[in-house]
Amino acid sequence: MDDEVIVCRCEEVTAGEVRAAIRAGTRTIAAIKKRTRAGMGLCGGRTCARLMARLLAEETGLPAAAVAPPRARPPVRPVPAAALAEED
Amino acid sequence: MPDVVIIGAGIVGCALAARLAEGGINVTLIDQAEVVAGASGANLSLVLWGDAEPGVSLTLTRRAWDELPAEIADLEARTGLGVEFRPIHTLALVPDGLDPRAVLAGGAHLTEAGFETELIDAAAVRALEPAVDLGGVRAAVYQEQAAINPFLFTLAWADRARAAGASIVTDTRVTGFRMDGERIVGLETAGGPVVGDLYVLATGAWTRALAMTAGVDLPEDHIIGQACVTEALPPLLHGLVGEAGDKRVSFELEVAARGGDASGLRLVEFAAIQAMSGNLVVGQVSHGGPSVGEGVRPGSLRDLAAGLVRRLPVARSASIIRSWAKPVPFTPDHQPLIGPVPSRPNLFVASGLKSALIITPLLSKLIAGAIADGDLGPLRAFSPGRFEERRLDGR
Repeated sequence: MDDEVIVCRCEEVTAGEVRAAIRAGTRTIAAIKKRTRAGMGLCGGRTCARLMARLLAEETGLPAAAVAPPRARPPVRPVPAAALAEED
Repeated sequence: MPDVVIIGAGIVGCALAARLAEGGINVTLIDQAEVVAGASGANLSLVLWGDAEPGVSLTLTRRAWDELPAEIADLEARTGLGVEFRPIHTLALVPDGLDPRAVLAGGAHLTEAGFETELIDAAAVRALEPAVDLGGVRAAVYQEQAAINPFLFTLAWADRARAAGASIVTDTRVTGFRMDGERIVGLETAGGPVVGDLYVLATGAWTRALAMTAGVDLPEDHIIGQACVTEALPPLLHGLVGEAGDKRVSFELEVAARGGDASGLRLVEFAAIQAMSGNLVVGQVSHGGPSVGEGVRPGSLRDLAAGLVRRLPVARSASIIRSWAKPVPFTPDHQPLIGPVPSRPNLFVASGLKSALIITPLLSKLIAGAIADGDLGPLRAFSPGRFEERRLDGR
């Protein structure tokens, strides 16, 4: 993956920025999110979490299966505030 | 010079690691998750002096506030990370039923310390924050404070610590201490033992449980603070808008009194701020512990959304995209616990801060000095020794 490739479209984060975060010592997707904002957008990291896992595996030499998935936090999908406010 | 092992890579642990390592001390910083995984990053991103208690807290907060612009410029220059520090106003809306003058009088000690706190009327609030619905509000307490990106602020301190030679070990849970009488001789972790001369608990709400493994019960409890985040929106809010309340102290006292049985207690306090990324951060629903692992409760998300829709109706169709539930510690006198534990000479606590983001740059400098020369100086006021010690062995 070239450094210019956009990994997270919502927040416009490139592969190069994710690689720089990994080289600064981040070792999990949760940590990459905090440093780069990748995965912090409206889609909740649905596409970019997989790409971040791939970059982590490539940079660290860890098997892809060893990369922990990001922690799921409610809501599962984006919900308009007004709809949430009316829930019983 | 002692080898120092710091547990907890939040703002306190990272800044202290940087200060100690820059002073030539060998530092290991260890965390169960990643850097800034707990309460240091799960907050409304405020650099807040309005929380300072009268006395030493206020004196140090005043000094920390005055030194902050230079500290942040230095931090950004050393690390190349911009931490999004910016002045903002905070507005505490005073709802009908609370006396605005009484709310203002609660901040008299702040005014005395030179922090400006003033009452403004609804028209003035409307001029500052036109998007806010002022139903039931006739006045607000206005303060000029600041905000920062708490992730980048903490990460910058971690980078600075690493650059000065500190070793940062993440994703490694501490399971207990190895003791030799009253001395700690090692840390038991999921990744094997870690040995140093001095052990620092910068562990926020986990402090009490960890200290118990060293045989000491510290007087610190926690609430679970819950908040949510909307999608990025065009500029709607210029500062922090919240509702003034008077229930926080009694809520915390009740949580502490109920101990392990406090999970049914809850408190709803609306507050919102817009991050530089455009996302609104909406707080806060608090409930009692003891669980530190659970996520946001469904009813809490509803109450957060309802507060947002009521006070910021233009955001009613904005999507809520994530939430958090993090344990936030507090002590019986709302002052932090800083200093060695009397009966455990090489166990040092740095926990229980109310507004950690404002005070940590100064505090980390003072704590590093105290560790290097053994003199706590003004931090003596926060010594765990001010409370009667409860040892688990009954001695």
